[in-house]
Amino acid sequence: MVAVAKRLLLLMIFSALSVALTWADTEELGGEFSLTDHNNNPFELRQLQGKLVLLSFGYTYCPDICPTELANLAAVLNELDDQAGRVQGLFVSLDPGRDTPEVLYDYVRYFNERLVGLTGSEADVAKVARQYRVNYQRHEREDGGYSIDHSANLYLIDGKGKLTAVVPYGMPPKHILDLVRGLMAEDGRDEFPGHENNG
Amino acid sequence: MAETNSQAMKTMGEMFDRNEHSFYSFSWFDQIGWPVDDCGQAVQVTSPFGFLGHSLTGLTWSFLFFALSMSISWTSSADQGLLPEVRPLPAPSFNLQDLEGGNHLLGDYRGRVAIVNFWASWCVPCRRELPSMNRAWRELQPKGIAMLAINLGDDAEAIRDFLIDFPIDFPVLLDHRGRTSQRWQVRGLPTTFVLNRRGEIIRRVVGEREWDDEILLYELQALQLD
Repeated sequence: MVAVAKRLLLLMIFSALSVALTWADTEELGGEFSLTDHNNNPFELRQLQGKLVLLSFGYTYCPDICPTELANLAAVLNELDDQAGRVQGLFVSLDPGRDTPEVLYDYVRYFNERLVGLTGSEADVAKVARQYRVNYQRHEREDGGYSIDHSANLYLIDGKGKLTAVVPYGMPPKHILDLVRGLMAEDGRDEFPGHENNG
Repeated sequence: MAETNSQAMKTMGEMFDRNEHSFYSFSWFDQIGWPVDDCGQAVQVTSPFGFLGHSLTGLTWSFLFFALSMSISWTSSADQGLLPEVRPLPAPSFNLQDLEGGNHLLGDYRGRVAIVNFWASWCVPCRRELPSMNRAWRELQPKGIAMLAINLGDDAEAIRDFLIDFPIDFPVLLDHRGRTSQRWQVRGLPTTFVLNRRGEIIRRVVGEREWDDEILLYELQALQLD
């Protein structure tokens, strides 16, 4: 009973705080960004013009529990192997202090060989996170380490660099796959207007 | 198909308008799950608090979710032991292949307590706990308890390489597309489920354990007698 009361009290406090913070959050989402890829090369989103981009955020270090989000993204990319030239998966680390290009190189290979890991300075990563409104927060651990809590949506960016969909964390890979295929079909129509009438 | 995509885009668009976010530290969606139609499609992506309207943005949700998760973890840590109990529910069925190509149906293990562990080679805590699972297996196998390790996402070659360094004597099954882990609502690795003899999930362990710990072994063996 005490536990339930504590939970409700916490909920009320944070609700009040949250509502107070609501209206400061109106800037447009997405946009161009520059980071460093897992091969230590400069990376700009515009390099992927013409491709559908699946952008996710996270970090590689999981001391206790590892999220399955990137494995789900890899499952989607694996299914799209026949469309490899039209789709690109990106993983932006929110922990640039630990996730160097070398660490990312080893990590992303576990998931999909075409997945690109991105990192940068703390300021660069924070800027991208702000653009996509990714919330993240460092938590110090008793053992001297730290973990990072973060929002975990998947962002779909079209061939013109425009953010077209935000997929909430927890969606089944099949649903993401259907969405991606739908967007690719639309991109195809944009690319070849009148195509449908020629058949 | 076009209609499905259109619907998906519409719901995504609604989500986008609200800019609702999810937070890793929060396990709300673990508990409610996503409503899924017959085709395995999620049919609802908007928040269960949709009635509150558009005034609650992503940042708001993050704070709300974080508050809830903190309160849940505080209360649960006091209540849960080595093997946290969950309300018994039938485990989702599966038919998965092992590394030799043999099929394993969950139903094959009905009548025995079964320990089902989800893991991946890139998951550091999974690597840490698997040797203790293997030691536990040697104790539990003679008692009739089954143990399965379901790998999420790795290809067979990567798993074989992994098993050279971390030998596992009990069956390793492949969930290459992640469908089984999705149906079992696995959001973090390692996650281990304990099933009773009726095939119901009765324990859910998120994070690593020393599976050959004496107390834990005793608990598992006691379940076999229930």
